[in-house]
Amino acid sequence: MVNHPTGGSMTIGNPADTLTYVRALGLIVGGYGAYKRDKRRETDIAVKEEILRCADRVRTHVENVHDDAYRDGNVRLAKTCQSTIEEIDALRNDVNLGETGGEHPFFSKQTTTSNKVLGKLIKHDHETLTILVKAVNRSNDLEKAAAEEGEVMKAVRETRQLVSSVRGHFSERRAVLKNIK
Amino acid sequence: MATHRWRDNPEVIARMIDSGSIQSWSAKNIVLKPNETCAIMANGKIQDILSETVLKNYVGGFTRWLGGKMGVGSSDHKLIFAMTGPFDLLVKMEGATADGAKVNGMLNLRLQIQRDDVPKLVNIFANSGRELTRGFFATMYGTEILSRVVVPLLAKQADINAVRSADFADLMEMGVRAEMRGSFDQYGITMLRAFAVVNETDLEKLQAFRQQTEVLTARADLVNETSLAALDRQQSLTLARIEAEAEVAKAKARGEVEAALESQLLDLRKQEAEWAAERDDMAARQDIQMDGKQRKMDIAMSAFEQVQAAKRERMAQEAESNLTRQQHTDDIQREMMQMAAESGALTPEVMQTFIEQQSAQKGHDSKSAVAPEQAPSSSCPSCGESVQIGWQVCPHCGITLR
Repeated sequence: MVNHPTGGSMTIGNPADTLTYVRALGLIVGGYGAYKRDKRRETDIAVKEEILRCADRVRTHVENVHDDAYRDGNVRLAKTCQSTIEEIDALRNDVNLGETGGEHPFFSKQTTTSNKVLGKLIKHDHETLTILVKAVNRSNDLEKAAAEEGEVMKAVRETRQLVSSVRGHFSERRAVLKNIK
Repeated sequence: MATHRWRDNPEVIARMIDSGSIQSWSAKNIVLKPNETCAIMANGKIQDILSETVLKNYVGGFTRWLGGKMGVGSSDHKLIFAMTGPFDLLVKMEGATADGAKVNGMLNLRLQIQRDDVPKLVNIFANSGRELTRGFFATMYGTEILSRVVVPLLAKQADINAVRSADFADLMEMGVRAEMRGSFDQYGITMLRAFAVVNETDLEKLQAFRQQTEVLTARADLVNETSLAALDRQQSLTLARIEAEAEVAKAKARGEVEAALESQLLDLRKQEAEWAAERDDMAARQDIQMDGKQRKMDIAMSAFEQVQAAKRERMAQEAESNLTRQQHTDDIQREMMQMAAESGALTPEVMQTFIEQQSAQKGHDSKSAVAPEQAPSSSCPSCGESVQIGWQVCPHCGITLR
């Protein structure tokens, strides 16, 4: 039994088994198809949309903190929130304009896709979404800390760091997709 | 297959169309690019939000038109297209700083319509036309931004310099983000960036004019100095050239003079050599002549000496003969006197006669002795100098006299 980033717990039978990640992703992404032959494109879009939705959630939390900081005259915090928002916008742009593939399994020139590579892609998506879920949780903590006058600056910087990690990790997705031949 | 283009102008951000309004004989596809989104609304419901896809045979066509006439399909079917990429808006910015200086400029807003927010545009379509452009958004948000963000922020700034600071830029972006968030969210618009471009104020224009004047003056001074320096350089170059030419002329003239002097010197040396040769020749000639004259003189002198010696000898002989004759005469007279004295015949008359005879005798002797001394002279036929008669050689020119 392990704790899932979104809360709750799940059972991992065999760490090397893709099924574990598929189940985990199923908890995060509704209707996750695990890149089945006839649902690969839909699965890809679903993962991206989930990333966008999570990014929106993080953005909303950070914007709330930003607005309060601006009205309270805390320019330093507002600036940090602003840079975090910019980072989230950059992540959204990356995801929006990322590769989505063609009508064929992934790309039109691709003919075969091994289960091993698909498992690698599923694992990568899981890691990306896991980090992003952490960012969502941290942004939630950020807003809570702002309300309770806690360590807001630390929280917003950690949120920004997590968003940057998601952005970097998502950029590696292209490399994983390139290995699918 | 024909394709329906929903956007033919870059100013268009969003558009809502009735799918039945597109009338054509053949059905058309709709291609949605990654930065384009289409929200399908049928019978008053948001059915789907699509992007990066091709809607095949989705609009137009005779059969769809016919079906519409026959009441087949949705009676109300709308498509809301929107650009999901960032777009910039320019909003006019006016206000005054705390010191009363008017500030004019433009506020640049970078906005974006997220894919999931496209259906929110219905709120706009309900109150306006079915085509949304940049100008529409600028007009819609301009007044609100001006009154809620720009004017209050500018009023807090002390002067125009504060408006141009980085802090003001940050505050402007924060203010727009915080104050306009609700209005933007209401219509599904996300603000990405905001920054102000402030025009020159009157004071800044005056300062700019003053600065330009100073720059122009400084430039004119610099140009004048450069021109004067160039003139000085030109003048010095001209003087140097003139001096150099004069030096060259002098050197040339000096060279010509030296050549002339050398020529003259050469002539002089030649002349001198000629003269020396002539002088040597003349000297040699004179030496020769002198030798000849000397030799002639020596000959003449030796001849003269011989003559003189002969004369002295003759005179000595004559004197000796005179002495001998005088001695003889004296002896005779002495004997006669003795005889006259012995005979008693020695009277004064006899004595007087005797003295007169002796004086006459001496007078004759002295005449005969002086006569050769005053011998008559003559002149040399060669040099014209006077020579005495009896000389055999002329002592002046050395020729033999006859």
